[in-house]
Amino acid sequence: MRRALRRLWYALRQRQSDADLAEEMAVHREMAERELAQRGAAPPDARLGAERLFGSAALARDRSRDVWIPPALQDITRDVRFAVRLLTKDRGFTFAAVMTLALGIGAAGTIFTIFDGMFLKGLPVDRPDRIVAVRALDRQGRPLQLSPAAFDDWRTATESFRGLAAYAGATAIIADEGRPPERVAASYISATAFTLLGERPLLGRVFTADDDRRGAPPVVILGEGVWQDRYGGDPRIIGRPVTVNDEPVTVIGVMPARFRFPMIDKAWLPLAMAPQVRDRRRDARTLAVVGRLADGITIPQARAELDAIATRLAREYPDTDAGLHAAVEPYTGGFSGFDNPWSDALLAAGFLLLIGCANVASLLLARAAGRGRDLAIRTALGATRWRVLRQLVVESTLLSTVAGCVGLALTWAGVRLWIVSMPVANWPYWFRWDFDARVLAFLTIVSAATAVLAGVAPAAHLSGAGTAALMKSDSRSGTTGRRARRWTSGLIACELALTIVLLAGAGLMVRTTIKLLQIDSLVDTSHVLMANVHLPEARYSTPEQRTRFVETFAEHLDGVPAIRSTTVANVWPFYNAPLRALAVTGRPDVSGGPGPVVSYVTIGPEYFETLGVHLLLGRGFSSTDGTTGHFAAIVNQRFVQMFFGGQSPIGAGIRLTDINAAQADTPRLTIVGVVPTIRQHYAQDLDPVVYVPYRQDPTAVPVVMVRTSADPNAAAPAIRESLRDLDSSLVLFNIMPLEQVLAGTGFANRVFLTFFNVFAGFALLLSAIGLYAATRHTVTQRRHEIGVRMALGAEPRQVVWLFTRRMLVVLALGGMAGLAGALAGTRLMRGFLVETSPSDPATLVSITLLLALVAIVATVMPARRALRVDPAVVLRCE
Amino acid sequence: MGEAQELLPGTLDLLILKALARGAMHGYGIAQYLKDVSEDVLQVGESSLYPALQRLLLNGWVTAAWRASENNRRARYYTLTAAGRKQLSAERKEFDRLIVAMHKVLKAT
Repeated sequence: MRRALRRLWYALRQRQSDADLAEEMAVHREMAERELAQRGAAPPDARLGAERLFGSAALARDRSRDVWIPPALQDITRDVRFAVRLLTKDRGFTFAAVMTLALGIGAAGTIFTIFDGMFLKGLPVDRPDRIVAVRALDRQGRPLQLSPAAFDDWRTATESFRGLAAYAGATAIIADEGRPPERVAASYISATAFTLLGERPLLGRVFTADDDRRGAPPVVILGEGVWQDRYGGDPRIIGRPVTVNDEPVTVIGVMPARFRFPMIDKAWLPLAMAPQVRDRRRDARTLAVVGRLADGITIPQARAELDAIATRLAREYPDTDAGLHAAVEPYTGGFSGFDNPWSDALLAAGFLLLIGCANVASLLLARAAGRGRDLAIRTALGATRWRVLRQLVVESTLLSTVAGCVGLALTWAGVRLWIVSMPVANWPYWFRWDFDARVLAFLTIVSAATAVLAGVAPAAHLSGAGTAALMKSDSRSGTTGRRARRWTSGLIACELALTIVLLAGAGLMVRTTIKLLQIDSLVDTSHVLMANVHLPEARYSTPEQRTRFVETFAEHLDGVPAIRSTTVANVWPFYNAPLRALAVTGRPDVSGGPGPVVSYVTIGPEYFETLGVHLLLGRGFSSTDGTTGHFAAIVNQRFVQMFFGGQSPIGAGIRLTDINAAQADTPRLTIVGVVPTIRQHYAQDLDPVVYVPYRQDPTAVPVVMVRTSADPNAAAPAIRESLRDLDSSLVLFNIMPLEQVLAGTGFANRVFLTFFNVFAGFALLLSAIGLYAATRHTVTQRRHEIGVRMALGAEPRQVVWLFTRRMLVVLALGGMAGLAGALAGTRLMRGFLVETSPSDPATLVSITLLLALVAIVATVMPARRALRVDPAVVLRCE
Repeated sequence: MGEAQELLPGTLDLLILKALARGAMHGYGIAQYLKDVSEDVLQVGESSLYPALQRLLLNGWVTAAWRASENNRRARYYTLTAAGRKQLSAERKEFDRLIVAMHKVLKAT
């Protein structure tokens, strides 16, 4: 340590130290000279004698310096100094190279940060990598929730977990004296969840096993947000009675605001209070499960153990559990391959970075070829090949380090932009986009890889060439730098290929976006306001009660002058609807692969009128549809296209099953109508939707939608008032104009559209720059040859052709590789392309033409410079 | 006179430390001292003396300072530090052990 400090001290005042040593040695020599003179030698002899005694001063100096600074380090320092000088001399080149790499690094950094914050970082708890989601998979591999009975079996049998906890979503309406009732996102949750996740309450306590027992006095834990907003942060909240969903409960704890498990929750009730846990049927699958792995247990080990348990249970309960498997995954999804838009965007950013590397590599290569003679002389004078290569590696490392710093700034800016442009949405609570050590580590690795990739080509070129070849490569003979040109052509072909892949991705996103705009414009979202109502179990326990409430409410609203039509549904358009497995009557069950799944929307009367959508075929629901003997369904166009091959489905029978529900006999539904496709999912291909009358399956959390004659927001007070008249304890929430909903769900699509287009745009620009620079470089290098050709009477056209010809070959090769890559790569996008084939010919043809056009311009422009060569001047230079 | 006597590796450091044990000296003084005491057997070339002095400085066994010399010339004087003194006795013990060992080998029949 001390030695290191002394070295540093020496290095910092090296000039002084060198001067000290030089003076010291001069004194030494002087003293020796004087002594020899005293002994009687003549002054010239004395000096010679002294010098002989002294030995080589230069050697002494070098060896002394080597003691302080290891020779290898001195060399590197020299290389760095040389590289800095080179890079500052050619500012234009340095700026272009740094920006090229920085763009790629910044793009990759931005996407990584966003991706990491959503899928990789995990929950904000201790050791998030040990927290897993546990599910069952059915015979067809579809994920299922667990029934309370199965959860108990799994929990008692397994030894792979430090703990397992179950939870189920709840809508909690909190009410007490003096404040209006309020709806809060809440969950029923196992008492073990809090200790399992390692989160302590801010106030009071978390649930104990005693709270989580059937018949225990009901209790609730509130989130810090509710505690602050509703109770002003009053610490006396603990032990206080409040009403949750019409039941008196006691507040026992307050959780800190950073804890909102499992999604965005602000209140928690013991799992034992959930109505669904009373259902002990093994196929009433209502619970989600989270676990913390026991020490030393891996995810595959845990899955294998649970699988064995599931197999045993399948033998015990063949009717309900046969064919069930266990699935154990990182809680936040983790990285599940390149089939989600985010990982594709990451891949696209990687491509952009590769294009940047190829570009910088070809620029460095051009420069290295220009320095060939210089390097050859150095090699001839005894510099080792490693020494020469190191110089180049240092150069590219320096470039990529500076680019890494700029990329860091770009990443920061990109992530800020993402955060501010994000719509206010109910993101899971663990999404956080901090600029942390993980991001820095990622950027460091990427920058290091960039240095290697960009430096490797020039280095390989030089290390492969012999001294003589290098010597010649700079001479003015006609066959100059053929090797370097071959490398450059290869790099540019790669650039073009990658650019085509990116352009294809961008083109498909554009097509998808246009399709989405077309499809979404079928719904007239202007003047529609939506709001949710929650009908508590205590007073609306039967389907009839719920249907009656919804019908009365709609009647009330229709009486409001500003409201033109009213409807209800289980979920609003453009938003994830529940899924149902589909069986078409008279067709054999598809066994083996996953069966067809459809979105399931229950609707009140006037649903399509309110949305401004017209029926395509058949009729709407009548007042008897949905009653026993009259079970009916309306399907969308996508459904017809997928399951009826475009034939009319009117009159056909279907059955829908909830794979998570107990398999009671599901009624046969008769298809009575067909409507245009309204999406119920975003960022994925259009989904088949089956609409059934609300009364056929009345949900406890209906959404009310009204079409107004004026500003939809102005209708909110009227809706609230009507609700108060009907039942003053009910609460409206999620009050939003439908337009805003549509804008919000389109966000993901807009983000990917932007990413892909920006990346493709940069890729095209970089390729053009690469082609331009390479052609220009060749023209400059071959000026002499051009002069000779022109002196001998070559036509200008022939001269330009000389240079374009080569680039056309490169373009053809790169283009072909790129199209092949695009056909393979865009298949990954299948999941989020809408009504667009991944190999859409129109897209592929148009992007290829675009690239060819840009490439030809970028080649011909510099090639025309050759025409400006004056043969007389060039030949005189000889 | 001929070439300076080849030294066993590492012994130059020991000799310099020993020379400095008598008091501060400049580079020329050290060379002269070694030459005189060894009766002209050990003639230390400057190309080994100065690197050796740098090594001792780096290890913190000696310190250097500019001072006026006996004939009023500015010279760089080296002084043994406490660590240097400890190193000297340690190296000396090690050297003695080595010599004894070599003697044993050479005397063996």
